[in-house]
Amino acid sequence: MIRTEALNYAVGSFRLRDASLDVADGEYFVLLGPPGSGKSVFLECLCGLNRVQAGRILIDGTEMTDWPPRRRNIGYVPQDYALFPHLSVEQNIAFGLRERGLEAKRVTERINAAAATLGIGHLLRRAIPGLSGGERQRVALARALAIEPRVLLLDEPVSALDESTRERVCGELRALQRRLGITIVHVSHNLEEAFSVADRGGIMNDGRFQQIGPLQDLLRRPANEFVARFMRCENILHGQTIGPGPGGTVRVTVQGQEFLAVTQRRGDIVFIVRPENVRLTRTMPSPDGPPAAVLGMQLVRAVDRGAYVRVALDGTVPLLAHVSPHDYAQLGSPTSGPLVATVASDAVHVL
Amino acid sequence: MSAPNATVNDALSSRSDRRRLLVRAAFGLLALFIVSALVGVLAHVAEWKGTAAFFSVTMWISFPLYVLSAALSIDTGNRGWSGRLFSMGTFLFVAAFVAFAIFLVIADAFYVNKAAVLKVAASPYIAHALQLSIVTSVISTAISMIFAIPMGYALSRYPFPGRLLADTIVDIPIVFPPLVAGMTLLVFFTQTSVGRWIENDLGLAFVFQPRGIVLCQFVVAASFAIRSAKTAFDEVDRRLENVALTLGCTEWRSFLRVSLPLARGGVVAGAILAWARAFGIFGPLMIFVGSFRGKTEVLSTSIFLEQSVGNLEVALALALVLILVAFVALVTVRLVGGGALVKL
Repeated sequence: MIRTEALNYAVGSFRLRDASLDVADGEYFVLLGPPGSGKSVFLECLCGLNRVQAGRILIDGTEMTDWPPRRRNIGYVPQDYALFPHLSVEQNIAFGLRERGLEAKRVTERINAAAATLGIGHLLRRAIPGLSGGERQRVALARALAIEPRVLLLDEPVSALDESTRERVCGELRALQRRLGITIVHVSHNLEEAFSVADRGGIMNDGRFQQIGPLQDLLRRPANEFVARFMRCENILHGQTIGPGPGGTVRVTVQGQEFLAVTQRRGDIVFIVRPENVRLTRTMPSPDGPPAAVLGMQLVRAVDRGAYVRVALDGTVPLLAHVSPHDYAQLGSPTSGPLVATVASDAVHVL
Repeated sequence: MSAPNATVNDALSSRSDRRRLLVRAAFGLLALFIVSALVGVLAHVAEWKGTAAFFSVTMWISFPLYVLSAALSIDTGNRGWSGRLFSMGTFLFVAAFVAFAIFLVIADAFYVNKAAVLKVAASPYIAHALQLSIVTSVISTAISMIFAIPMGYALSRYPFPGRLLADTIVDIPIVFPPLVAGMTLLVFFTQTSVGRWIENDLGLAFVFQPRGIVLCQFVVAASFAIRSAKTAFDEVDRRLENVALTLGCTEWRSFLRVSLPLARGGVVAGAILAWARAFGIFGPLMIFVGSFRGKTEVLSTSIFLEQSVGNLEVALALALVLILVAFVALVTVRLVGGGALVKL
């Protein structure tokens, strides 16, 4: 397992601040954040390429904060893979093994094992220039896995691949991790990619972890506005509590429009409503079910995204709704005239 | 359906046939030019007047024809007349420069006579000078590389205080006249206490010694090797070195297994530049080590001495030897070192 305690590292005007993280054995952890947020710098600190100014790094219980990279036995795949262009695929995979002084027979065994794991046996004699993006990625993984590392750190491992390959490769990464039972930290700036590989993740911004937890939590219970925006929750509303509502809820007003929320907070609050939790109907909904706010809306624009229809609504408060194609069809087309948006109190998450 | 296709194919093949023909013609004319130049020069030296005249005529005819066919053989696709003019325009500069260089050498060769060649071939001093030129320039290149490789890496990778100053000082020997190097070395070893201590007490004499040749050559040539090595290391991606470290390398191993092999082209190019400079200089040698027959005389200084006493034919014959050695060396390195020369 990987544990970092309050890592601090400064380079140029960038600072990594008090980065603390625990990744369990055999976990697939994804590190998210916008470009320049410090994800790669954090990985380089784990590898030992950056010397941290404060904090501790422990892997499998061993403190290795000040160890040189070669002693850490961490598999590292940097962005764009950094394959050695002057060596063949086989020599790339063998690179770390030769450094360990293994006898030739063992080296060959391990190369073949790594190549078999990643399905690149047929590439061994090839040169690096001329490999496709996907092939390069596999070679880089094989090179990192051949040294039988304690953990595997992947910096944007699929960003260089085209969209259709990316999804398949993410599935393969996940399967590989399950099969080998290895701990992986995967850096990404892409949400779909994160959901397709990991269960748990951390969001970083400006050198700080904003939130760490199961991805579903990051999505539904963001810790702050930055996380909510990063997780593409577009309905972020600022309001004031104005007193108790039905069923133990609190009434919240946003520019005169009332919402119902379950919260202990009073006064000025920020809350989110995930677009998929906004229900759209033609008529007033039945009053049973959890207490809900009912809003009169006009449709501004609807974009069919295949799995869902993204509907921009305008009323007292503009909202965005994701509705299923089936529900959208129920609204009747062409869509015009007043619509009713229902936001249940349990869909309101106060930040 | 098949008829129009056939026409298109015919047109295509006739177009590429025409190009192939031009390429062949250009190569043929170039070969003719080279052969007639060589035979013409040899015939001239051997004093076979008729043969020399004949081959100089074929030489003069074949070269312009070569330029024309080579210029027309450049494939400009469907870029039309302006594309054709552009490619021919740029090529003509290449042709003019190469022609100028070749005709200078040929002019030298036609000035040389049988007596001069025999004198050069027979003189043991000149054989010694040639040998000394090659040995000293190879040694000084080797020493230059011993400095250039670590220096190039340090200048490329470490932002140490004073790097800008160090980087600038590296370039100074490239800029100042080589003669100045000889003067400063002479002043250092004869007028300063440290220099005199090395020269007299340490017993490591440089002034007027063959050892001094190597020192002069190193001073004027090392900068080229260092500059070139630094540029080569600049182009090696640091992330490759980082990966090597995570795979178990020490800094030393990562340098030997990753950085140096990847910088090889530029490092070799620097060695070629340094060698060429070391092989050709004579100014600082005249001042610092002199040109004593059989002791400190190298090819470049004997050319200067021969022409200064009026033996222009001998000087030019020596110059041809110098050019020949340099040419053979450059071609050899190009064949052995792959793309190194491309980087020059």
